[in-house]
Amino acid sequence: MIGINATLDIAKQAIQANQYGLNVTGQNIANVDNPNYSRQLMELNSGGSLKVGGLVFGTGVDVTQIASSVDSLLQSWMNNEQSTASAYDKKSGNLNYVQDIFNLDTDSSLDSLFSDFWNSWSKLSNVPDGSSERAGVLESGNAIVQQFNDMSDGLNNLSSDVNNRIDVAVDSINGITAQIDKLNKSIVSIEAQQGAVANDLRDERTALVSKLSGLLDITTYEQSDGSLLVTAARGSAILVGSGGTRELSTGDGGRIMWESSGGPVDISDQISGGSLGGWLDIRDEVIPEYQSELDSLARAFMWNVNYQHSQGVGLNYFSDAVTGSSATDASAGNQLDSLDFFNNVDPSGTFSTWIHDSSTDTNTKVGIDFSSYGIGASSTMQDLADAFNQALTDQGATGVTATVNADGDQIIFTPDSSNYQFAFGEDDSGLAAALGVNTFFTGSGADDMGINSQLSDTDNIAAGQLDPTTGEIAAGDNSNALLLAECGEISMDMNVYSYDRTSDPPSTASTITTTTDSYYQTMVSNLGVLTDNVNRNLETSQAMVSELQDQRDSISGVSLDEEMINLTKYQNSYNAASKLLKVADEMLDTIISTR
Amino acid sequence: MRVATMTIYNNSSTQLTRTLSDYNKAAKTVTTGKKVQDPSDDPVGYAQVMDIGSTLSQLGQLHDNINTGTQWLTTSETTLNSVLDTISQAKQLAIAATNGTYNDEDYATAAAQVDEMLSQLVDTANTKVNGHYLFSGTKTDTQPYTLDETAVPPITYSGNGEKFSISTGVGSRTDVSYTGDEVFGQTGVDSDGNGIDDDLFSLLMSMKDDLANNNGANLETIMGDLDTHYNNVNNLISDVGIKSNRLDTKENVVSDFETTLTEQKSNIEDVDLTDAATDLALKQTAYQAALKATSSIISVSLVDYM
Repeated sequence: MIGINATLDIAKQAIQANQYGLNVTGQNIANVDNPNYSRQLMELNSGGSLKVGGLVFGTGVDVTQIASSVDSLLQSWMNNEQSTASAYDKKSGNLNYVQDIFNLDTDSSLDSLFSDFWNSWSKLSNVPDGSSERAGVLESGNAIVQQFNDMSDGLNNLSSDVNNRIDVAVDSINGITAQIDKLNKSIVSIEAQQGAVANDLRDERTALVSKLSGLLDITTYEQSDGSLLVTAARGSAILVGSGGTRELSTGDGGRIMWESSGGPVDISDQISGGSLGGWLDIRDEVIPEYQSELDSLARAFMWNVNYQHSQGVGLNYFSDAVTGSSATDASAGNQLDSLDFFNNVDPSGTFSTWIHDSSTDTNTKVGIDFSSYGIGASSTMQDLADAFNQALTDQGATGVTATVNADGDQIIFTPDSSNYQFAFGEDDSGLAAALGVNTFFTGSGADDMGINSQLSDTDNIAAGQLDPTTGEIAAGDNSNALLLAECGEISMDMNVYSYDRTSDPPSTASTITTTTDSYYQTMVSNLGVLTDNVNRNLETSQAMVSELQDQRDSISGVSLDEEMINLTKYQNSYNAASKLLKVADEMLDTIISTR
Repeated sequence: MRVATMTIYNNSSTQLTRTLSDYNKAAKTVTTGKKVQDPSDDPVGYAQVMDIGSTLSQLGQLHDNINTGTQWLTTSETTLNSVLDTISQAKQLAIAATNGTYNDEDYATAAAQVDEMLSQLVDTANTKVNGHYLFSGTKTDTQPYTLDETAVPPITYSGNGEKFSISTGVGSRTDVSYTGDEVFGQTGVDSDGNGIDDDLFSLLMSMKDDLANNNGANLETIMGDLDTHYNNVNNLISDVGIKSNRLDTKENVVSDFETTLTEQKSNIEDVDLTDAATDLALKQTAYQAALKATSSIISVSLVDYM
């Protein structure tokens, strides 16, 4: 016969179970706003059975476990998508900075500055000896230099800014992996010792993993003991394993290094997602591409203007020494081919100089062509100076001597006495432009571009050209200014670049033949296409994340309505169990009092 | 599908953010009147707008150039007309002097008149436009003619044979000046060191001498030479007319082109205000709907009924 005590036991278990249930409900309600919390459920079992006299009795209820509603597959999809979304997020944000650097829609965007510059030459052509027109040319040239310098600086600053952010991200990655490792150890020991699932620690770990996915793309794998293996770089770098953590660090050039058992390994190219992936794309693809193209544009622009400017003459002959602003490279033996623009030089052309003797008011022309004077790519600056002096002697001229500076890397033309002045005439070789003699701009790229210091005397701005037969200067000659105003129409070979940081070398260059204006327009338009694509991708992956979040919450999220119902349910059941206890107790009382 | 409480709040917040952002963008489009604000809005259109902007800026500069050209031509025309007047006066004087009624005193007076004409002509030949000599070629800072009747040759031209030109488009130049040689004839000395004397100044000098010394004996020949100069200057004046007309036409073409381009630019970057306003109303409705839905869903809970 089954005793009354057994009924009392059932009541006790029922009271306990419902009280646990209320506790779980309470925990769920408390965490309704915790995004990482997974809804907990109490699992019940009807307990063992007792066979008494051919009858099988139940023995009440057992709480078997407090389970967490987690779909780990969904969670890992969400992490992946989160990686992608945060990569696009960083890319999109930084592309906006790049657009800002381009100063679009303002008067200082390059396209307006180019137009202003060409127009300033046209204005000068209308009044070739006008001092305000000359100042106007210099001013608009300066504005272009400023903008090129600013854009180059802006891209460099963005790059170092991104590097700082990468450093911070690497630190937080190491912090997060250390925490995951710590949680791994706690989960393993709790679950092994107590045989129960450590729900809240697991929730905490899941939250860290999802935070980590925002920083870089990772894959995770749960091992049978409950610990979580975290790998990055497409599974090749174990960040958290059974042996503890392996840290990331930044190496030379801001490369991402993983501390393998055999020392640091560069895993930058295998990181494609997370903030880190987005920043690497910006730093190693977007910025170098625009930096290279900006340089390509600056070089083409400078060459066009310098070439034409060096063909012309200002209002007066030069009476002081003229030093070429371009230098050869001493490490290349000061060979001419180490000049920045030597590739643009046509060796079949002739570089001509006119010497003016003011005592007799006569002009003598000296022409120097490469083949007659044995000048070539491997000649040194000194060879060139010697050739010039030889040409003078050969052609019966005197008055100017060419020398090199102390470093032997720049050419200097000096008049022999105050009777002599000189000017540069037609130069279809482009040698003067390559030497930086009688040029408008100095430098070789967007960052070091400047204005030839000689032009601080605006009379030296070459609006005209020497009379090709007499070598005379005419103040109203605007022939060079007219040609300079049209330099924007010259099509020339320029490189366009495409960068893929995972290939070696990362950049591929192709040549297009176009004008500087349309090259710049293409640059801006490509930037627009890129930004548009990234923004679109960002929207898509954010929508994916939010869709997956909904699905995850549908399984793991707390619903207050449900919990309210549970609350009532457990309360009622608790009341019922208490009633059972009371009835069983009264029955016991009855029995005892009948004695 | 089971709906977690957080989903309701998350979704409401996402929807509100999205619809508000759309609403804001639609409002910005209406207020700025531009549909292309960033290159990413319409990369191709943005590049076209930049291209048209550069062309418009060039065209604006062409107006400047054409104005400069017109100024040179107008001054040239006035000056050439005054040269023409001087030649006419000289010719009338020559006709009067050959009708046989002149006495010695009349010839002397006539010679003095011609001398007056000569110095006036030198002044005219040294006319400036905006501080630049009109007839010295491109040596615009050099006075073209100096007269010294005791020297050989008495008149010297210090200008050159180049003409001042303006740009009327890429690779297109229009000469807007006339050199002294063109207007007044060749001056200077030949290889033997004798004066060439083909020029109008020398002609007036010999006319003066003829009137003063020979009582007009050579006036027939001089009249013929005056006619040659008259025709030459007259031809130049019609040339000025042709060039002015050409510049006027160019100016009109430039203006028309500007209008067309401005229209094209506007088509690409400007919004159709009706469309934009409709879109704004639509986005407003969407935002209002999201607000309504949010306030409705977040205000009900089972808690309220227990």
